[in-house]
Amino acid sequence: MAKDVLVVIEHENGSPRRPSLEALALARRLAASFGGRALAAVAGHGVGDIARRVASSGADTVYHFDHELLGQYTPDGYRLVLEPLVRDLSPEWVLMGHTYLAQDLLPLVSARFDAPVVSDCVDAEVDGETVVLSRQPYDAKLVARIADRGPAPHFATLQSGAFPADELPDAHDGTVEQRPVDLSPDRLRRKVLEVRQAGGRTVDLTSAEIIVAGGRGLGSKEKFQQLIGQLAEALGGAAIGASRPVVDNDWLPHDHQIGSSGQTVSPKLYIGVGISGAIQHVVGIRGSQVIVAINKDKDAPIFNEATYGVVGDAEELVPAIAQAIAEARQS
Amino acid sequence: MKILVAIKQVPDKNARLQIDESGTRIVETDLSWEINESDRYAVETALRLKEARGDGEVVVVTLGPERARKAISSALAMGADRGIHLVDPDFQGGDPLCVARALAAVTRAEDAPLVLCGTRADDDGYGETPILLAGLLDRPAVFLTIGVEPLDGDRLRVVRELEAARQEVSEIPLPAVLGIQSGIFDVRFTSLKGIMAAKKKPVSQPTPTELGLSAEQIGKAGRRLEVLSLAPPEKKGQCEFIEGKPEEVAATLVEKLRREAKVL
Repeated sequence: MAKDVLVVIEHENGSPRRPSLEALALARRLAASFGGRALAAVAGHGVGDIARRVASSGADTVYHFDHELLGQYTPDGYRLVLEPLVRDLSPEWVLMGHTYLAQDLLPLVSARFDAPVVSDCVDAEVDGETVVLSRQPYDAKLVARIADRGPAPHFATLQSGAFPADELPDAHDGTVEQRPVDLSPDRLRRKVLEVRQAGGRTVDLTSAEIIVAGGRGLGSKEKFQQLIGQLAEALGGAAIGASRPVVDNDWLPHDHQIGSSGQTVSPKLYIGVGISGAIQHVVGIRGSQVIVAINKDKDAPIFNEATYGVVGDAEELVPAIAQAIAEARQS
Repeated sequence: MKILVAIKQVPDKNARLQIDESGTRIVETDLSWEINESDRYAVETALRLKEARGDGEVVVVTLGPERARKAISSALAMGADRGIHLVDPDFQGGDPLCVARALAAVTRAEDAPLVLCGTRADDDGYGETPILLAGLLDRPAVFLTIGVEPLDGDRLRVVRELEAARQEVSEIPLPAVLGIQSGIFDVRFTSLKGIMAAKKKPVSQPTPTELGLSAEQIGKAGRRLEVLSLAPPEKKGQCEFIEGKPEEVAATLVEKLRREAKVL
């Protein structure tokens, strides 16, 4: 029997989300190796256009679930359509981008099939029907290669940016198949009351050209303000960002946070000081044109992302760099 | 209300990790260990819920070898009432589903209406145990919980962190499972009094059989996921390191940003 790969598509503002398209790219690669098909599931309300778009982006068949009660994501609503679909299609793999929604949803589905999720994968070795996935345990300090020895279906989520979506074809004549949905409000145990912006966003880093960001490695709120402030000023008033521990410790308000739970930035120049490079931060800076990392630990994962790296003490380095930048900008 | 909190003992964040001869595990000797960060927030959340209601019991459970007893002691010193240590060798070496099966059995045995877990263990980083557990128990769950408050009629009001600094506010009925996010408030320090009191609190060590589990469902025998290799990441090699005295580094970096990268 042909071995298919199913991708659960997330969408936002009428479009499939990028992590879902990245998962579709891997699904096509796996399906090609298995001699099977790349399948997709789109659930929502009024999302027919999205389903068609996924079919033209590389999915061979898109299963389209339309229901008023799917208009707002709930884990029960999604599970109640996905679980029967997975039973029906018996795919070899079920893939999603490693997003907040996937983490809230996919293990709920996989548990029904007595399977764990190989989560947050960054690489896949595909050989015939064998798939070995790489993950980054210990806060990305190590890489583990994982095989799922259990029976299909297997489940995995993919780290944002790890599997480029640009491998998807420009055009594809996949089909859309609408599936019936049987849902009633009493089956959705999570009642969503509100989706809100946390504390109102007053700092917009997404359009900043130059960002200076600091991390826990700076040691204190005072050091953060002094060193990051100095560097931002030398750059003519660069935007100031931070990793999660900084805002959790109240060194800086939450709306300066960069990363999966904060903002995703794409400046020309990003300078990270005392930021180790936890993946939750790194996914937010990968769109930067040039990344400069300053850290005292030469093994810090931020250096895997950086264009230029400096290993050393921020207290000595930052004033010197700020001065050199200020002089260069005047000349 | 009885609240079960699942915690994990993980290596200290700053530990230098070495790989053992098998090439699939870290060397555990000479490491210092601590309660996983988000699990500390789960314990704190449970204690706050108990304090707000003025009654209830907070039971901490951990799966791990003998050394993990210290994680239970720390949680008891924070104020938890009782501990459960899944220390039997058959429990060890499993994947997240094996852990979730063991926790599901404990939840049933304890008849706990609310289970709290940290969102993600900082060692293997799967971040799926609470949701797998909810799936096995067929309970509603919320991942990345940043706020929880009990409502009348056995319901909870829960705030879930979303991407791009958004939040979802929802209501769920009990029994339920919550994955608690780090950094949502200050976690209490343990007092000397708390540490002394912890010594008198009971810690049970149920066996798989006592929990109705067979060896094939848990631990090494029950796992699906196999680690083929564990190693430091290959350096991508794209990072150009700039070395020298601070002034030299500064001059070289600025020159490169201007002439090479053309971003200044």
